[in-house]
Amino acid sequence: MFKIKNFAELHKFLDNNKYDEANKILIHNREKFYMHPEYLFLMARYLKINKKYYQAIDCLHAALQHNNDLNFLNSKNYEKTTDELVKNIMLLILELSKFIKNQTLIVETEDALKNLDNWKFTQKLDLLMPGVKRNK
Amino acid sequence: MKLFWNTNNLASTFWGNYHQKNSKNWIYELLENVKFDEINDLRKIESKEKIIIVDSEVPNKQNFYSNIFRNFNNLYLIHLGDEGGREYNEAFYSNFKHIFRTFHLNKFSNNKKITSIPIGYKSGLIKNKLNISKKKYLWSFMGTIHGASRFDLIHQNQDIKPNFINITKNFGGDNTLNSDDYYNILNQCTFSLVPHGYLHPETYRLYESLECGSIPIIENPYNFFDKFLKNHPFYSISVWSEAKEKIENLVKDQNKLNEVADKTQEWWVNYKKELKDNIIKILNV
Repeated sequence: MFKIKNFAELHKFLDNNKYDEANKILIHNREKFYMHPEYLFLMARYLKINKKYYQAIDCLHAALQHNNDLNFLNSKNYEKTTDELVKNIMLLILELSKFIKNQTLIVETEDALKNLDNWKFTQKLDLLMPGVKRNK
Repeated sequence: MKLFWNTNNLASTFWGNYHQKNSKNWIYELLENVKFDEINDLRKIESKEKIIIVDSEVPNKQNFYSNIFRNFNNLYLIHLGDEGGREYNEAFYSNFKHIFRTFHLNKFSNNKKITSIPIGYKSGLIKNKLNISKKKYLWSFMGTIHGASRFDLIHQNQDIKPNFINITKNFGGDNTLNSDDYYNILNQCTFSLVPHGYLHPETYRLYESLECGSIPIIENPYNFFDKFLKNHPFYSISVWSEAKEKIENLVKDQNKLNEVADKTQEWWVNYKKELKDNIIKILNV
């Protein structure tokens, strides 16, 4: 699912409740990768564990925005991420939407998962939450 | 003691002008028991004079501060803005007797020369605060939708009516209400829903609500406010779906509502008094 080796390891740490180790990798990679879709997904997982649900959704929204913008990815020398990760990003948004009980987000995310259309979904999120902007 | 307001003297920036226009009443309230003269020119001031400099965006003003540090040695700084804490600089701060600064971060607690102050309210408060039973709206939100929290705030609570919602595209943007209209609405709100700021948990909305006698319901990430505003009586939520129940329960019980409103106001008045007393003590005036 991950193209960056360190991040596969970080993912495993989160799966195995090794949060201190996971946090160390997040801190170590922040400067270079803080806008990378894979990094943002893992940061969202870490935020969710720390009960920062809204910040986690913002990270996932940014991950989709960045992954859909080839110019942005090229400017940062980032690679487009895998379809599997994109699906996992959307599944995590769905899980968080259910947790905060936001029916609009639940419906939009379920539709996007059915249609496998993350681009339209990202545009919809941009309309609902227009303040998540990246510094290019 | 002299006070030199420097936020917008050297360059016309959004935040420099913002603080000149909007932060003065709050800072002057904090200093209301301090005798000082506001000055516009430092050239005729003696080097031993105590000077409070009120400023923002300080890293962009290196030449100004190099001169100041050469000529004066009894300096205090009120450092406004800096939501992300990027302007925190121990070497720079070491030139001041004490620093009062906004947007508290944990790292400031380790520096005894720093006293964190709330970001406060924008200038333009209205004088006649409405009693809690006379307020027209149950709640309001006026501001920008940065992300998930604010979107969810509106989503979860829009059915609680009467409410007043005015969404702006950006801070201070096109359909932002002027301060008279803004405070007029806030004064008419029983509750104020206070989400996390752009980067930092604090927003002006919290202090403006307190000044208007509106009961704040706050998003309290990392329990920030429990440490920063000790013994605060605010209702806090972790997700906005929790706010609805709190509002509905209080609205059903007028006595309890009055009690919460009174307790909130009493706390705020006492908090400000303690802060002002502490400032006097530090300034030693």
